[in-house]
Order: sequence, then structure tokens, then C-alpha cells
Amino acid sequence: MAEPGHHAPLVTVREVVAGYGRRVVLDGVSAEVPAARVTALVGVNGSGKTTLLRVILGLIRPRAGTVAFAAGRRPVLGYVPQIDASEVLFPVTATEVVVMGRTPRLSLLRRPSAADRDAARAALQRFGVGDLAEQPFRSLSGGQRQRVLLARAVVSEPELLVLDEPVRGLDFASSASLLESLMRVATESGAGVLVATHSLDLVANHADHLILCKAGAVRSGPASELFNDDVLTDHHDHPVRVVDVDGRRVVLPGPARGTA
Amino acid sequence: MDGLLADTPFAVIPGATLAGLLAGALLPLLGLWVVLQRVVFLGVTLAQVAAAGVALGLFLHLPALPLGFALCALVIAGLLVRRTSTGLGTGGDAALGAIFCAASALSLLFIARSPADMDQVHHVLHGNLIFALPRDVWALGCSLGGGVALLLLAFPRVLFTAFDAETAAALGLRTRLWQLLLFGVLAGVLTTSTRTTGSLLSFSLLVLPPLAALQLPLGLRGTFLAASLLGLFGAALGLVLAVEADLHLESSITVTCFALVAVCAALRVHVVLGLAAATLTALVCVALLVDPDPLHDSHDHGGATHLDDTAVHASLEAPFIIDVHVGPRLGRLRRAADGSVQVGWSLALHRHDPDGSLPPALWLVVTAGDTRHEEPLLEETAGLPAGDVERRGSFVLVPAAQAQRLEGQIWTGPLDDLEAVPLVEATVVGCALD
Repeated sequence: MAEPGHHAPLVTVREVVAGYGRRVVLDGVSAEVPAARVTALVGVNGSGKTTLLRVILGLIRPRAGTVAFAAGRRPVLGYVPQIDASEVLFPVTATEVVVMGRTPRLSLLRRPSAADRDAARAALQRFGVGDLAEQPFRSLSGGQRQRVLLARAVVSEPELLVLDEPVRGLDFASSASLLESLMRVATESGAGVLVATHSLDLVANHADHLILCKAGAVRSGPASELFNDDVLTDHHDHPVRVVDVDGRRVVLPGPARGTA
Repeated sequence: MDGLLADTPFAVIPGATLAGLLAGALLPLLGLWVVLQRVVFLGVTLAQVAAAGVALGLFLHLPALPLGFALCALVIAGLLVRRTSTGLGTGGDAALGAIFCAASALSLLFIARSPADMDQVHHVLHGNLIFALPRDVWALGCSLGGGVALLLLAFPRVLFTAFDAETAAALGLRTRLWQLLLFGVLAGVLTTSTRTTGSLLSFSLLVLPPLAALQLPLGLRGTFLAASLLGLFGAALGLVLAVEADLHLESSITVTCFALVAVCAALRVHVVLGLAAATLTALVCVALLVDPDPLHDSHDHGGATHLDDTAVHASLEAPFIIDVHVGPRLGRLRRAADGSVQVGWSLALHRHDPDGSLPPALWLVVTAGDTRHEEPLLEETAGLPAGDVERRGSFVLVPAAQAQRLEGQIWTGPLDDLEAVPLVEATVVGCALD
């Protein structure tokens, strides 16, 4: 697991205020997403992590504050929404779903080319679902769909891969397998990863950088500094233990007794 | 087209045939987007808003199509302003419900206050495809063809936006623009199709063939193609049934399309079940074609038509179409204290050829039990201006006490030599007596 070290921030959020209607969800939030590293955006339900994610993605315009990008331009993004966000009534194949990820690259009247379809099939292979390329998306299981959506996110060769609760609703084996695939692909491509989740277990052994969301405020920093009993207990308002098992972090509820 | 239909039952309604087939083939291509995005309620609301716009046009004596489109555009703009990139949400559904109710009521109110009459209510709300004029067919063809072409050009972007608007927006697509294009096309097409076919048929063709196609195990292109072919087939079969079995045209097409949904849904479960559903549908069609009378007891082969309070019957005779409505705007005719009834009538005469020939005169012969009344609709047609003609009037009739409804017939000829010439499937629309 690498530390962020001196990696320059890919995204810098400064004093952002954002919300829906009259409701303010983020109030003066600042955080950084380093390049080429895995950043976990962690918080309980309703803490504002999805709102912060949407601000970074440009889906919500902040009422105040700024979102700045490295080199002064928006990075090429790959995005995986929550698993039930995609419309599964559409009679599209897995390849057609992945090709959608190349659509922003196409000029106005152009159709996806054979090269786009080849890239889509290659992306499906990378996530271990190459044999499902011509299967209807709606006939796939939850885990298979999520792999297809991950393939769609990486087919555009993103500089920043953004994932919103990527393993929500998946069983243990599917979650672990999918995370391994994701981290391998992210490492190979050198893309930064920003993953929003309420599960500390999910990111305990993958995150280099943490953004902890709580009641509209955030605390961010290297995972090595923030992933400890005190910070996480304070963040959850509930005792949390971080123990080491065979060199891997395990997060447990309960009274803090120091790390094992 | 007229030449192609020359030896078919459709020769008398070439406009209706062409408009029905056009709508059947192309409306499902737009409707598939509506069904796939689960915004069917938006489709029905837009159809109703378009009907309200057309009714407003009749009320204000203004062009109906721009008004219908403007109202639809207003609804879409309102929804897009309030929606996020993630979908309409329950608030959107509730707003659509409110708009649907208001548009339905306003359609009736506008028509009730307009110079138009009961036939116009049916025309706007339930369609009157049979009176489709060449200009209606052109307008429908242009709007449908243009709409489908626009969506085809922007297909990858519209598809991504429809499939996953949030991700599309996150990746930099201008999702609101593509949603506006899709719904704008829908508004334009529904306005012209509602004007020609009514809101019932427009909505039916928008939803039912796509729903049938989605039951089949097809890919994206196959589903679009199947929706179009099923819509075309449903419209054609509905037209055949309507003409051959003397059924209400729009309802025939709607029921036929619904039968296609049932057949495709049964096919999805099991081939045998699908074949059984198809056989059942075919048997019903044959029964309608072989002996329409048991299912259509208001029809009289002599040319007279019973005047049920809600029935609408079209009169057609190439090269012109006559539509006569008798009775009050809504409801049943009521007898006065002396037993008499005031009967209002309206005539709409459409000529396919503006300079085409007409019978020398047109008479409405109304009977109620033993009572008979001869009312001149057009005493002299020789001096009429070219194009469409509308007339209205009223008369007092004292029907026999036991008479329960009026029956009407269109006659032609001079008064001193009045001759019943049952214009093919002649027709009068009226209402029952209290």
C-alpha cells in the first residue's frame, strides 16, 4: 500500500458550500484528491459524501467555494454510479453499455467505430467478463453488471476513476473479487481513484488517502495518519478498533484497546 | 397512394390509411424511448396537453398545432427546470398527474365553449383519423420523419443520456440538451398526431408496440425494428377490421396493438402460449369480419344509423366526406313539457379535391318512432365555394311518445324528388331521447 507522498492533487476542493434546494449539505468543505492514488470518501449515510462526489463530478454547482483541477482543466473522468442507477430495461448488450463510455469522445454525428467496440471488449476482459460481451445487460447478475459498469468507466482511459458505493448489494466474494480487479486495473492504468463508501472494511487495505465526511464537514489526509482508533471512533461517534491480522487492517466495532 | 389503394376497401379513406400506417410505423420509434425511460406518464400527459392545445386553438380560432406544441413545450421546460440529472422523481410524477388532470378538463371546457360541437370533442380526444386530409398526412409525415431523423443523428448521445443520465453528465455530455431534444421531438410529434389521430391513438401507438417489442428477446436495433413493424402491422390490421367490420377506427387499432402486446408477452413465457394467444386474436378478428352485426347492433345496412348517445359514425363517400352530428353538445336530448325536442345539427363536409363534384343537395332525414322530419343541410351545392364547408342549424321535432332515440339518414336530391341515396356507410351522429 503506497502513501500519497508528494503526489500533486488532481482535484482541490476549497471552502465549498453545496446542497439541494434550501438544504445545505456541505458547509465550507475543503479536501484534496491526489493523482494516481486511491482516495476513500468515507461517511455514514447522509453525511454528505455523495454530494461532495457530485460537486467534484460537476453534477452539482457549489453555492460558494471552488473546485480546481490539476493543469487547469477537468481531468478525463470515469464514473461508476450506485449499482441501481443504471436503467436495466434497455435491451443493450454488455459491449454496447461499455461503448457508451466512449461516447463523449465522438464528434457530434459520428457513431462508435470498430475500434471503440474492440476497446470495449478489451475492457470487459480486464474485469473478467469478456465472455459476457454479447449478453444482454439486463440478464446479468448484480456483480456482473458492476464489472460491466467498471469496464465502461475505464474504457475512456480516465485520469480519475470515481466510484459511488461500488460494492453495495454485492455478496462478500463478489465484493472482494471486484475490488481486486479494480485495484489491479487502477494500478496498471495509473489513474487516480476516488471511491465513496460507508464501509471502512472496504477501503481499509486499499486506500492511500482518506476523506472523512461527517455532518457536512470533512477531515482529509493520508490513510496512515487517519486510519486509527481515535480518529475513526471520533468520526463514527462509536468505539472503533483497527487491528492488524496477517499484515492486513481489520476494522471492528467495540472499545478501543490499541492496535493488535 | 390513391392508386395503390384503388381496388382495396381503403380507397374511400386514403388519408386515414396513410396517416394510420405512418403513425403505426414511426410513433413506436419515439415511444420506445418513453417506455425504456419509464416516463410513460409523461407521454400520456403530453398527448393530453397537445389535445388541450388543439382545443384551445378551436376555441380561440387560432392555429391549433403551434398552440399544442407551445403548451407541450411549456410542460417540458417546467419539468426540465425542476428536475435534476438523475430523473423526474416522485415530485415530477405528481406534477405530471396534476398537469394531466388540468389538460383533460381544459380540453373539454375549451371545446364546450368553442363553436365546434360534439364531433369535435371526439375528434380531439379520441381522434377522427377517418377525416385525415392530405395536409394532415403531410404534417404528420413531416413531424414524424423529422423527429425520427433527428434522434437517429444524435443516437449515441440520446442513448447514453436515456440509459444513465448521471454518468453521461459526469463524463461531460450535455444531458439536458439531449433530453430537451428527445422530449421536444415528442412534443412536436404528439401535437401533430393528436390533431390527426386524437390523443387515444397517439398514446396507444406510442406505448403499445414498443411494449410488445420489449417482450421479445431482441437486441437494441432489433427492438426498434420490431416496435416499428408491430406498430405498422397493428395499424394495418386495425384499419382492415375497422373498414370491413364497420368498427371505430382508432379503437380498432388500439385494441389490435394491445392484442399484439398480449401475444408477445405470451410468446415470452412459452411459444405454445404465444401461438394460442395469436390464434385467439385471429379468431376474434375473423368473427368480427364474418358477422359484424352481433357485435355492432347500432348499424343498419340500409344506411340509417341508430343514434346512441355516445356513438360516432363517420360518413364517407369519395371524393368527399360528410360528418353530421345531431343533438346537444353533451348528454341526451330532453323532451319539453309538450313532448317536443329541440334538435341541433352540424355538418362538416370535407372535399379531397377542393373542386370535386358534390350531390346537388344534401338532406338529413330524421325519424323518431313514427315521426319523420326532413331537414335541408345543403339545399344547393352548385354555388358552394371550393374547399371545406361547415353548416349548423336546429329544428323542433315532436317524436312519438314511445320513441327512445333518433335515427338519421343522409338523403340527396331536390326536395320535390327526394331520394334516399345511402352514401356508402352513411352516417349521422346523434343522441338518445329521454
